[in-house]
Amino acid sequence: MQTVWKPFFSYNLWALFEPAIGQEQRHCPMKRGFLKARAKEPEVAPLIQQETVYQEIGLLAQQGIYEFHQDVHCLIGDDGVNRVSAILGLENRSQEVRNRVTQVLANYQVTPILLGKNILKLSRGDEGFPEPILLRSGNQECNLFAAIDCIFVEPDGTLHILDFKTGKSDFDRRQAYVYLLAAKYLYPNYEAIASFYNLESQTWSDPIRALSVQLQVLEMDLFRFAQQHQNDLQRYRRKLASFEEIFPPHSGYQCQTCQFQSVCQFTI
Amino acid sequence: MIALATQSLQDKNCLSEIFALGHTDLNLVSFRLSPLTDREDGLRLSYRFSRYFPNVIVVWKNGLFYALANQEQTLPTDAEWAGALEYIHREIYEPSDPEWRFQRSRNPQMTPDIIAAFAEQILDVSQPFRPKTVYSEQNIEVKRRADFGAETVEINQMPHPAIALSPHSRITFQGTLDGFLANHPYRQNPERLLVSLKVETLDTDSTATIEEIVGTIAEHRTYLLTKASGAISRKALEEAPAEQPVVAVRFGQNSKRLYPYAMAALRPCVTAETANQLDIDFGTLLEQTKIPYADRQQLLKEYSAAAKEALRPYNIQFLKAINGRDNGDLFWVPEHPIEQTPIQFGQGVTGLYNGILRGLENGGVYQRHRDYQNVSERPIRLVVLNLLKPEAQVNGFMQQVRQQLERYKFPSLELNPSTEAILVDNWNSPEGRATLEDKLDELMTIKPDIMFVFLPQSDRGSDDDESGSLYHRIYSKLLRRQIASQFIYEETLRKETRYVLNQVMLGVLAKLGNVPFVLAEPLQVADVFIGLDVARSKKRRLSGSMNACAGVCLYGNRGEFIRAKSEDAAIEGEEIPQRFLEALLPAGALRGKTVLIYRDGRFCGDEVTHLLNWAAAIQSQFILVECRKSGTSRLYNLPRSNSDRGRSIAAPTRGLGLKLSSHEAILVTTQVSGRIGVPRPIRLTVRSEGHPASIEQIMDATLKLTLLHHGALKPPRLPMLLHGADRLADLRLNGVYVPECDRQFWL
Repeated sequence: MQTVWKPFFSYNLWALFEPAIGQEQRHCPMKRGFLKARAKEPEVAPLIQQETVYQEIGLLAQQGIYEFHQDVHCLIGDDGVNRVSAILGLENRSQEVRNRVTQVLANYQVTPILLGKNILKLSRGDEGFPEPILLRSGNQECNLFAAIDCIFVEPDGTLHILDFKTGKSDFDRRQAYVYLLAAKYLYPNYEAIASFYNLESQTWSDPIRALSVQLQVLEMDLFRFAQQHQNDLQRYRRKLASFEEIFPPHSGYQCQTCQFQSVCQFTI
Repeated sequence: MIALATQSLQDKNCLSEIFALGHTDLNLVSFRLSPLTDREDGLRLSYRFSRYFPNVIVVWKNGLFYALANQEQTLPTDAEWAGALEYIHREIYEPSDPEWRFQRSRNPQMTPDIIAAFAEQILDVSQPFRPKTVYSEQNIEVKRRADFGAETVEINQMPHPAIALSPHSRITFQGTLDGFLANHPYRQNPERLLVSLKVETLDTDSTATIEEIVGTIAEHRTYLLTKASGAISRKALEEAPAEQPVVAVRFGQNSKRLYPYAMAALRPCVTAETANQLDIDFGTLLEQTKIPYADRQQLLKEYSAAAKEALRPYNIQFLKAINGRDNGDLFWVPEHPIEQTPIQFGQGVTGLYNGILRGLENGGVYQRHRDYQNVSERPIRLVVLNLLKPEAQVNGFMQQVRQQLERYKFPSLELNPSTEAILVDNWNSPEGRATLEDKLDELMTIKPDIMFVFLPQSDRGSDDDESGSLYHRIYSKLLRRQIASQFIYEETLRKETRYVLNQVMLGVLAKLGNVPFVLAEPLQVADVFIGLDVARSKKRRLSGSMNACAGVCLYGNRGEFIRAKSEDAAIEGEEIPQRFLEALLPAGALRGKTVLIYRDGRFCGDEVTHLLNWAAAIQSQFILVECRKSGTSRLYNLPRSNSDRGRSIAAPTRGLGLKLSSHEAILVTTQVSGRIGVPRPIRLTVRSEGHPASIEQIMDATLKLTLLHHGALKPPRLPMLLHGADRLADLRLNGVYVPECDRQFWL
């Protein structure tokens, strides 16, 4: 049976539509165009597939935490860091990646924040797309994707959604709201909170709660973004020359770190 | 109707600050310099010639110099002109300057603008207006001065020369820039303090901006001494310590030249920003700068007498000010008082502009934003940021806001139902600011439509603090997210709530994209009205490199807001490139229509040509109107009086205009109380290259477009489309991407 394709929404799509708060100057709407409308073009696809050092560290760090909790002996054993490093194949990585991920593992072994928690879910990070959550509003439908790193239950019964971070960038509260909305559908009987934990700096954000009115509004916006995105893609497919009109460029400092600078004519 | 007609006639009892000039038997000569001079060099050289020859005045117009001598003075011979040129060349020589040669021109043609330029230069060189000190405290003085400038006025369809004379106040710092630096907390980092600082020269009181630090006195002393023309500059140079920085200043915004100056020959301009550094209460100073009508009248009398005396030796007669009795046909008032303009609300309800609230109550908004078409599906999302003490009546106020919205058929939703205050000991401390930032970030995560911000009274007037006001901090942050805001001060909350609600509700609805009302009768002059503004910023230490951002707002011919957008471009020079204009003015919306484009300031470079090419390409007709805010002479009412002392000038009627020609006018668009000051008119110029329109039609449309400020019950000075264009250009300049938007969130 053929699957009916539906508009989708994710934190990632939201961030491509609207910059994080305080990051307005670094936002370029054209990036959404490259990532979502031109992703399969031969000159664009390789750029998307290239993994940056930051992404590599983030993924390996999460995999490391996952491996620690797969075999708790690694977490408490003296050579745990070496064993997990071997599983992750860190010896084949660059010096920077090796050093930083090893430091994450060592940090975590000293402060294993999930040890003893009632963990409902812990992702390795490379499982691919999560199962979509089907949302309905009137006669509209939309798939919500939320790739949650970890969920555990607090002693008081509250569901705690945890997202791992590495590097120095600030967390984006919107990601927590998307996860809290997903939790409302996946675990309807739980009160839920979300937080961010930076594995390198070992800092934990304050817990984030969402009022039901806020989730209600997010859900309304989610349909709007998903539909707008589909409309933009269709407009582009109908008229390829209108790329820069549908996804306007915003050149600036952000060009220096943009993966599409080699193919973007607006890069400065 | 009879009453209205009487009103119009009475409005012709008015006066301008523009004085007509006459002339007889001018003792003059004209010449050119080879190679031909450009405007900047022409103005510079003519000023130098005027200083070199006593009682001879030189002006430059379109490549030619004109020299006018005092009637008892013989004009210099060709040899004397050549000698003067050699001296000036040596005095102001720069390696890039050409060596000019003098060439006499036969049969000089005198035009009114040349006579007016002579008069301006005579007043500039002879300086007949003595500044009057009206306030003095510590090192600061407030002085009354005369602003003057060349004008031409068409009387009986003939252009006549004229001079505009206007009293103004200037706040002057009595110290020098080196003293200012020595006492400043940033003295260890002079670049941070000095670059971009506005200054005045001690010799001539000219204002300039410091562009860079070019070295030290030790490095530049000898060179600067050869160039110093004024006694004060010379003495300052001789006495300045060797290690003192030498700054390069730019006079005017667009001058290509920078001039090195010793700091002791300059003083900082007193602005809101420097006042704080000088430990002065800027508010008190501003109070002192206001000139009551009676004082203005006295000053105008004194200035005109002084100007008359200064011009007489040159056979230029200083005549009467252009006034309603003698030149009634030059003055214009709208057919009906502007406050009685018919307005249309929702459900076909019409009323007058001065009955807006009643009309809104009866008909609701004229047009709902598409987001709120379906009342049940999309309530207005409100959030509250309460920075007041706990006992403040924020909850009660918000309840009434929501009830009022409901009355206008706009249900609402509070995204943070708790309006509990966020209390911090000191908002200006780093901790206070960090708490505020966090709270704002949190409140913006799920995007509200509008944020109500309750501020302590102490925040009013605290813009000059180093940390800035809470108002600006919050407003700019919300603007960057395109979130509308409504600020309520503590004291306002204590007033009668209904009054406050009436003041804010119109703005709240408009900021969300609704159109509360439009003009009941469409403007005839054009189909679409566009405001175009360009913001530019120079990149420091990258000479010539510039970022220009433009914003446009489109309105329909009933004043309905259509949409706004912004574009940016890195451009050299002054004008907006063609591709940039084309992106701003979409063919689809404008094809085949008559479009009135208001440009904030002047059209630069080839902008007019680019626009007309675009108009031709899309089969449209563009009326091009420049709208200038500064340097415009004031207009006054001159009511009849039974007093023996003659007639006294009074506040001008809102809408009073003076037609300088068939394509240029001065227009009073505001009405302000005497306590606040005297209205500053705007100057409208219809460019002859564009589609023609009568100046009366333009004045009428401009006035009516000022009524479209839905964010306030009091109309602003500029038509609303320029206000929005300015906001958008500025946001874009600061790197904020504003896609095409259909809401005036910036109101």
